[in-house]
Amino acid sequence: MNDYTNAIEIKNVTKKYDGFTLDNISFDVPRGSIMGFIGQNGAGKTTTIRSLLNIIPINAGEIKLLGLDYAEQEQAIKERIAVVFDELPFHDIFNAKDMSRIFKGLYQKWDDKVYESYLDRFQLPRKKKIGQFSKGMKMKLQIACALSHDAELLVMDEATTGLDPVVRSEILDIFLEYLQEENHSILMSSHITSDLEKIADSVTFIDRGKILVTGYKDEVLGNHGVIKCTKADYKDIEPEDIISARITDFGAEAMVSDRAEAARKYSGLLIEPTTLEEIMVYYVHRVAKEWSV
Amino acid sequence: MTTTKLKALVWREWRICQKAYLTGLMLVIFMVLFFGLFRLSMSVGNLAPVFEGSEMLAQFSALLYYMSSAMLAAITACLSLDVTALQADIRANWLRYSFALPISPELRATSIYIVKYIKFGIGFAIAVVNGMVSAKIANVAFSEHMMWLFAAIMALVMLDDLLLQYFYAKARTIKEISAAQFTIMGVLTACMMGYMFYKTINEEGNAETTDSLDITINSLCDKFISHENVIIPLTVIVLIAAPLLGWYITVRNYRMYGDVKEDTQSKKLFSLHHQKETKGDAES
Repeated sequence: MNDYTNAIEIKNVTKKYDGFTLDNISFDVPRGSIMGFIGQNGAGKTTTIRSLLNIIPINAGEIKLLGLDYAEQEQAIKERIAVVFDELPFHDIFNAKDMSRIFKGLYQKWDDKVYESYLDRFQLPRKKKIGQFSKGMKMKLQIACALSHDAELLVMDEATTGLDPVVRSEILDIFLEYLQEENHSILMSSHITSDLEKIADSVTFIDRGKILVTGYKDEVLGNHGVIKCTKADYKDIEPEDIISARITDFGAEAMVSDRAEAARKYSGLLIEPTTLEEIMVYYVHRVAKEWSV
Repeated sequence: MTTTKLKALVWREWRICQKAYLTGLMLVIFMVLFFGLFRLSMSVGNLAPVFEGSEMLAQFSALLYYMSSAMLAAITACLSLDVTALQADIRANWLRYSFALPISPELRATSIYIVKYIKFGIGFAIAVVNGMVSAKIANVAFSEHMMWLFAAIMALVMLDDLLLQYFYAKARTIKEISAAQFTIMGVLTACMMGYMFYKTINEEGNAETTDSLDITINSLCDKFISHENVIIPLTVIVLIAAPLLGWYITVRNYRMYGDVKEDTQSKKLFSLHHQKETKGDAES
């Protein structure tokens, strides 16, 4: 086992498609933490995840997982990571027992006991064909498979999308349990920011292939704020101080990325704490600067 | 560990395609059984009085022994090449997922080829058994030439497999599989038409023959036997080289194309070499 500080290190990664570029992105996921990877659909989350899983080739940059380089130790990395996609990638004809037989052969550290315990916990039938599973059951099965080979890094791409709140909450609890081990880390891509607000230690926000915000969740939330003011007061705010502003019939709401500085500069105005969802929305409108609902 | 991985992959691959393969096999066996029973009925059954001493009996015997055996060999070999597993992998999103698993392209290709050759083996065995039974029914001796005929048919199908590997193994969507099917059909049709055109030109002016079916089939077999000194070495070469080349093409396609669902523009080498290259670029 090698020693490493960051479970994921992405440096200056560029991936070009026709009409889309993942533009020189860099971020780290510290070991033992959970990072929320947020952004609207088409922002580049899945491309980033595919790049870091070495599923698609990158045009430039460097990616290290668990301190290892894909160029030299691809198989070793893949032994020690687990992936959960938004859709179950198993054939309908198989059942939970069949999946255990397959993964037991593929992973050196596959543990049948752990897998069985997850099946019991999720109340998943052993012999029922996967094709007859509900969406929630399918996701639980995928998570059971991902967590049964002692993976140090769990990468999830929109894993909780489309699930009902009860199943989502159950799954989030599992992730928190998984993080109890100090060398376990999670990268969780989602556009359901409320889930990430509950469990993430750090967040990275991507939009149009660019990383706009990355850092510890509490710091990101603490630094950002929303100035709520009248239209007249809004005119006094310097445009470079705000990310974007929502103009309503009743006034204006402007997002700032340095709440302390804004509080000092615009002491007469009310600056409210914000949420990840608001941060995402205001950053998406950063080019237009002003927007209305 | 590699053997364990291979076992798991082979089991998985077999489970996915076994239903389609066995169904196809059953249909072929049913068809051959029908022919066999019909021929039996012509000599010792209800139809015996009708066909006794008839020329039709000889024709049907030749048809049963040579044609049905050869057809069975060809069909069972073709059944080995089905793309059920690849289609199912794409539909189930397994292909994309499997790129994140600790499976090397070599292992993946090996498992595909092991399953393919298990199916080839079953097909060959069934063709030989069918040949022997048909020979018995048709009252002819089962010759070793038939074994080489089956082997030559298998070799031809293996050449077809190279085409399949070249086009199918690149496919990462159902649409791409359909496009590959059209391309392969196009290539095969063009080859066949080219051959027929060549034959027509060469036979121009020759007198038209009106031999009966059994004579035609027997003359074709004689032709095969007279060319065996070329066909046998060629068959052996193809049987050895085609799987190796097919395996290499499959590995190369996995390396080059990875999961290309989103990546239709960039077809850069998906390999360690590429990773090293990009790393080098970044550093420089």
